[in-house]
Amino acid sequence: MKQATSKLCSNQARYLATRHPSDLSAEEAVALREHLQICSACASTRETYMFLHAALRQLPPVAPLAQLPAELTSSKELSSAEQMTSEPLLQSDRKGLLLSLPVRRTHQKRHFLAAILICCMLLASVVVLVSFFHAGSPQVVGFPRHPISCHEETALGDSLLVQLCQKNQLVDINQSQRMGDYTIILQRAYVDANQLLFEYKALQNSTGKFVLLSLMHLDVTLQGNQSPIAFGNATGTSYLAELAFTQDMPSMVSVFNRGAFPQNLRTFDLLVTLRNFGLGSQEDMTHLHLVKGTVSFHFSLPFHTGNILNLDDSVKENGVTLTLFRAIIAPSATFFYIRGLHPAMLEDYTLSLNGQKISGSSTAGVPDALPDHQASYAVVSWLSSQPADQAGTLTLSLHLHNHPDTWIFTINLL
Amino acid sequence: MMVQAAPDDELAAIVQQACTGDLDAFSTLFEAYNQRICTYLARIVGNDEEGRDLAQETFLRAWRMLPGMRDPIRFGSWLYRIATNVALDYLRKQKSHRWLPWLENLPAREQAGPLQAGDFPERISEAEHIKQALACVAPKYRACLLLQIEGGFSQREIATLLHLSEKSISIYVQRAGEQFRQAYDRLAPTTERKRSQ
Repeated sequence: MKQATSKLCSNQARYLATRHPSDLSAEEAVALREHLQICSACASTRETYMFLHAALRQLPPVAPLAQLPAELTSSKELSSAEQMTSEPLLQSDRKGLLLSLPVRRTHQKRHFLAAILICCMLLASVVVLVSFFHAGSPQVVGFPRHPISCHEETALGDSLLVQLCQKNQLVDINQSQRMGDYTIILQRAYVDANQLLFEYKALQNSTGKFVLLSLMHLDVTLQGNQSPIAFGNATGTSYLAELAFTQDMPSMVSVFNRGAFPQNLRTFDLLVTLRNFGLGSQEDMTHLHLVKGTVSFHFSLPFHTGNILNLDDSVKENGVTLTLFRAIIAPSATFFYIRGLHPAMLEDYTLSLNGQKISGSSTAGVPDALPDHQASYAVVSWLSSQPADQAGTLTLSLHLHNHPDTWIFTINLL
Repeated sequence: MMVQAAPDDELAAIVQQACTGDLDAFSTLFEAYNQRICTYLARIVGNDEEGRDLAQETFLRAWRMLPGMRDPIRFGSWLYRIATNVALDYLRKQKSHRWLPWLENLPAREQAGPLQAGDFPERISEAEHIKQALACVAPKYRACLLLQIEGGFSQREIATLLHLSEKSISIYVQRAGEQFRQAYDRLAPTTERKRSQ
């Protein structure tokens, strides 16, 4: 009887969170209704979903935007002014006139005023970029991620990390340090030319339970080097919530200063120092202890180098020069360092290997605040299929806002 | 003019006009979807103001990408896909870039010991309670859930929109429900305590 119920539940499970009339056929709706009458577990799940639906629907609506985005209304005014002072325009003329409507890979003449506006926007971008770097931005971009479970369904952007896990490239460290009532455990780690990855967790000794851990500060020193190769401060509280509900322990990925170590290194001898934690129960994330203290771990890691290419390849299109001065193609990610590009300018990019678009890409732009990369921008990609250890022609195509052109960089991988 | 109530061919005609660079036609589409997109984005990122900022970005991107749009009848789901990408990009960058200066903000806490429920913001309204619980749902699950509830899309439509399988959408929505319920229950005692104060 129990088996029959389980089988029925697995058949019905996908229907439990349906709402739209077309999600279920008439027969399926009847089957679901009958099933809910005999299966309390499914009925409870369905009830949860209905509760959620009702809860969200009772939220007050959000006030809409007062008007179209300013960039569009200004082009609309431009368009109106043009129409008032000249002959009516053909549709094709209007297309060329409108500031923000791109037609890729065409080179239509632009309206004078539109060109001035573009210049103003570029100037503003430069001002923002300069002010950003002068404002003391974080020296290292470090961010928490889901810990890597080889069997876990991947969170967005984490598929590569899961692949690393599946390929047994993560090294078991399993070192622990006591700090008051807590034991901090560094479980696994990985390093390549782009990223350091740590997985750590905290055990409360008095209760014997694992607790939430939010790291306040991290120093990573390569033995024999004076300065840290990575350092950061806190992980975000918002992330704790996510961790709490997936019952996972935190991990950290750090983008680090690749210039701080010789490229022929094959093993990393690391000293990792973690300072100051937010620790709390997984059952109630609102009760966090802030614990001051330091724990250090000393261990060695194999270095998965990847390709570090110094290129200095410039492409000029429509008066804008972008310089791809470095590409780092490593197993965990591919980073492109580009001068002349600000995050706000980038509309999208595509990456292809031997003419085949690399699919399943997830992208994130991070400002590279490292000293030797100032005034540059890193296009970072965590792809489902990294081009590391592959030969051929890697092509990076960049599209900028308000530019019809494409900036194309090609890299030959041997 | 309420485009969502308009027949498909009328919607398609307006979208086609907008595709040719007709900003008035695009304004009509903007008016029709403005409120819904703002609400959808505000729910995903958990902040009304940021939701509106992202809605601006969404409409700008939509305007720029209109020439490449293939199926005018599917303008709504196309717009929601852009909005979803904008929101998930935003959340990813938040993860990458946000550093919370706890030590600076909470100088007395280290001596004061554990944080208590009473240390957190004043009375939490039911709406706030729901929003907080929603914020605890993983972003990709949240997006699927909101596309279903706020966007009114079927699971098949969401699957097409997000390039995922229908089965995945079903699982994600269920997980969103579970995570929401757990968060809602977990946050409830705090709310109740505050109410009784």
